[in-house]
Amino acid sequence: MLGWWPDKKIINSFKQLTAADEELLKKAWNLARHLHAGQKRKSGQPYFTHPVAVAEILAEKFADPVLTAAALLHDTVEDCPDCLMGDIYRDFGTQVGFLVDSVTKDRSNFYCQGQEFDDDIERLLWAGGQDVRCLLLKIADRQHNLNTISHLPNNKQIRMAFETQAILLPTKEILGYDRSGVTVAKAIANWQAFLRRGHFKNLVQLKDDLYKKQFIDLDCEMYDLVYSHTNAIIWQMTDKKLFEKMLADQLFNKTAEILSITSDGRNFRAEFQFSQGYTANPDLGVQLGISKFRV
Amino acid sequence: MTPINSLVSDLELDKEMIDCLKNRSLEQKFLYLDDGANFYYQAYNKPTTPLPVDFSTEDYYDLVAGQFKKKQRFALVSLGCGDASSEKVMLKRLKKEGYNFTYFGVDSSRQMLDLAVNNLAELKIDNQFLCADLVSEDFRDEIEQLTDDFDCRGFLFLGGTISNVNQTNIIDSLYSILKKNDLLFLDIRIRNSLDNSEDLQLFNFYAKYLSDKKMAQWLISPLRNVGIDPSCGKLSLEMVKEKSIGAILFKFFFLFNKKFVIRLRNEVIHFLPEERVELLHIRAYYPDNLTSFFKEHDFKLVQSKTNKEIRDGFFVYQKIS
Repeated sequence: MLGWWPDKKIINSFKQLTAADEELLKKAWNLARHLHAGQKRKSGQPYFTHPVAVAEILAEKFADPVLTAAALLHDTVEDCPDCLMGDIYRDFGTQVGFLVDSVTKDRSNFYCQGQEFDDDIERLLWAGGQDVRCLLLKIADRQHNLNTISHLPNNKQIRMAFETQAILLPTKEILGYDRSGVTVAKAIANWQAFLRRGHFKNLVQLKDDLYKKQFIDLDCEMYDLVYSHTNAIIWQMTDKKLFEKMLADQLFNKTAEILSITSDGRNFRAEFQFSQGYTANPDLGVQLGISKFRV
Repeated sequence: MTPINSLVSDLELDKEMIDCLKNRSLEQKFLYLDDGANFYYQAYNKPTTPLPVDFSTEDYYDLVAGQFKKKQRFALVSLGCGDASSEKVMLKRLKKEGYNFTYFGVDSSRQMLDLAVNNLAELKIDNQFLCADLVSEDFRDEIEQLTDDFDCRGFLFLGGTISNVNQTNIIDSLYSILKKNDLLFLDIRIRNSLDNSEDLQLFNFYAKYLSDKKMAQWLISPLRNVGIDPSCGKLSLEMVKEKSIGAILFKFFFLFNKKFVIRLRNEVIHFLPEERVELLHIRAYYPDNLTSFFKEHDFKLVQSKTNKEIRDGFFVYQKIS
């Protein structure tokens, strides 16, 4: 019955699957494969390997058919001119459509909804409030993209890493994405509890709160500035022990170019810039500060 | 007593000090003037903080003697010789082994040269002392005249002295001072790798000076000598990179946190909070990059010896044109 799957990894992640769910996954697989046919990733691999890998990650972790189908389709509208957002909503239903819509770039609103958003992050966070699976999909997508980050130009690597560090890693932590036994239901509960605790009046406050988890004095305005000039940022850390701990991480040691270290015997400050994309493990409790913009 | 030939007058030094203070960056020589020489002696000879370890004086002998033949009459010019304690054992051994040489001790501090004269008196070697600025034209002319009739010449920079001065300035000066086939001996601090952790270890090492009272007293002595109250700022350390030389540069500086005004020879200088005065620069070099830097200035590497454990390197270069 399941013989149509060329790759058993996704389907084997589901303990049981209704005929309708299997049909949904089959249809998503076939459409994505068809639309991405002939496309290549920057690494040279067939493009279709990316949505399949994202679907594999999510199927293994959450075994949610809608989320898995959306993962297979998540880049179709963004990267395939023949595919429109309306097609996804019509052919796969509003849940899959909404998830794909939420991670599709350069859209200021959602299909058939009037609300406008200032940027992709606010749009994603709003969508996460409607269906937390939007956040799970974005995190898995980024997780796989980071694996092949070295194929991107350095400035894009650094920008992607910054966005990940500022938004996606804190979100991932809050959702409990990496905790064992995580389910969609648990992720929803964790996210809702976080929103309740934060008493956020609007999306800007929510963004600010996420930014401050790993960055010092990073607000929305500064985020935009950093994002658009990532190559020009000189970062700083003032916690010497933490900085020493970071240097013990080989990847940080390799990607951070130290520009200066200053001390008066009591206070400490290290200034550095990244030569490639780097995201710090949130467990380290890193607090990065912006020292200055390089001219 | 061996006379010290001085190419610098007190008035010139005062004027230079005023210029340096106005530019917020002291030349290294001011650390060794007046009581700075004694503070330096105290800090280095009776240290309370572990100091960088240099090659032993026996190593200096092996490395230097290996470049000369006993029948040659050669000049050994020690640039920034200080109290000459670094080379004393080497000079004694050179004499004992029958080498035919004259020692020229050069320093910009008269006080340090006084110490050097006393220090080397017992060796009874042929020596001369010169109080001069290494990058000055006067010095270049004087040393050329003094060493004109020697078979060969070797210029020594021991104890990391070359690392204290502006690198582009000194290398261009050395290019002018040295002639074809002259030898340059450098004893310097080295970086074992270009790794950030290695640099941080070196930073941590020098950062200990900040809390060492003797070191701090010495480093701030030039400011105290011109009447600046040490309590109106803090001694601080900054590490930056000098990529063309492959060096990391440690900059000790005084950071004002209060306004302070001084008057020197009818000049008034205002120091404001957050202004800093550079006091001492120390470099640690990555050997390959240093050699490339010298190669670009027509010096070839003749011999080198490095000790990774104490991060010390001894390099012998020869001018090839």
